[in-house]
Amino acid sequence: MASPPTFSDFPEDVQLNILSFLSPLEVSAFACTSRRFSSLCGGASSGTLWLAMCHRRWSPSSSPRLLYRTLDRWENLIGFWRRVGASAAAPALVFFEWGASSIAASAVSPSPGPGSYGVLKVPFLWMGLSPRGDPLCFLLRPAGSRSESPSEPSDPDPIPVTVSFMGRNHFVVEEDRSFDADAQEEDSVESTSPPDRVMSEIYEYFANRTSPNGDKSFRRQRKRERERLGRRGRGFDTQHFVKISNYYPTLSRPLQGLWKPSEKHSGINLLSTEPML
Amino acid sequence: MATTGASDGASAAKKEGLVTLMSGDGEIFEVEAAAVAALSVTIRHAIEEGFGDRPIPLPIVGARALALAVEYCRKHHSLGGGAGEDSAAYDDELRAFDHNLAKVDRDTLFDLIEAANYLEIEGLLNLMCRTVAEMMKGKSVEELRRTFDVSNDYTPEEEEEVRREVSWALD
Repeated sequence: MASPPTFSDFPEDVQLNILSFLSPLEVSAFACTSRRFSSLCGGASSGTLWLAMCHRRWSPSSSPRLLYRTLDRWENLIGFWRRVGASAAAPALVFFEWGASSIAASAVSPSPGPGSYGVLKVPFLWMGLSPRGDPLCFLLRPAGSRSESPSEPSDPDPIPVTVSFMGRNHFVVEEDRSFDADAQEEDSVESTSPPDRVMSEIYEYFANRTSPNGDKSFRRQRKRERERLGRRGRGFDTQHFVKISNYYPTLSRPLQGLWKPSEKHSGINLLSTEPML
Repeated sequence: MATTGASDGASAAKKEGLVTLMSGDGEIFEVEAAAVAALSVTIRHAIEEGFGDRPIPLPIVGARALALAVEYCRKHHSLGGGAGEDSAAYDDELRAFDHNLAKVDRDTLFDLIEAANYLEIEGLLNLMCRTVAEMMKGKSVEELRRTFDVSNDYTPEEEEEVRREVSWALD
């Protein structure tokens, strides 16, 4: 009690806790200070340290229970879904699968090669938890940008969306209107690294939303914004999808599954015993 | 605030919902049992084991660190319901409170880490560990040794070797 503790006095798990907040670069510098810390950072406990660093950086939430519950609620998404309605911008067929602490959906289309049985999977939707434990969904490939530049890697601006269910076999993707709070916060915290163009416009739009003007001007503002986004081909229409329940061939239904038309046609079809909508 | 004073715990009339903590240097704190038990695993266990009606001795926790730890528990219990930093209940007020708490001087900071580790207050421990990590960032090996009282036990040859190995990271 007489003299305050030093770093060396801390138990090893506390030392590792502190180091877990550092980058590998900073850990290396610390490892150079003494033999003891070199073995702490690089010796037998280095596995523990790397694990702790992974956890710090990528753990979606300190609450595994919340993560479990959120993903569990979305479990029914796993599998194939097809677009319904007129929103031509949405992919016709999407496939949901488990990601790392998340659920990821890809737009599925036939591989361009002639005679190939492969399919092309393009990231479409990411669903997981925010660092603060809120469900978070992002549209990874905004509609409209698909055919413009196929050579570019698919790294467009993610759009925050909400995914809501209408019964078990129908979900709706909409632009997330409640994203304003989070967006503004991130904006102020991360002021040194401004978000990219579209995101900052979204922030701006949501920021304006809090102005004390009436509902009418808000709607006008929104319309303007929509036109602006629309002109650039980034407009976002609500998208509807329904589940395709049976998509694997079975003994009694051997034709069930993904089918690709012959070369003359384009598109992809999923043959299922479910009624097609 | 904690009532620190000459009460010897045994003779003090027990008030409902309070628990008495005794720091390593003999100071007595009467605090709301619900608040500290919600945040501190150690105190929760002590209360469960029947320490509720006599002072809980905390031999390695100094009075200064204990007062701050109790304040942390109280604040987080009343505002966040004891939830961690990642929960949605962690609002701006708690953030500001934590931010201010982390501004303590280095000795208090290190005392608080020992206290939080002993009392098993996870949020406080993480907060303080992150604060120490922030102090480490951007420092040279020499600066790190000075700041954290690390004695260099390498031979000059060894140190040369180690530095060469990680030179890619240090340049």
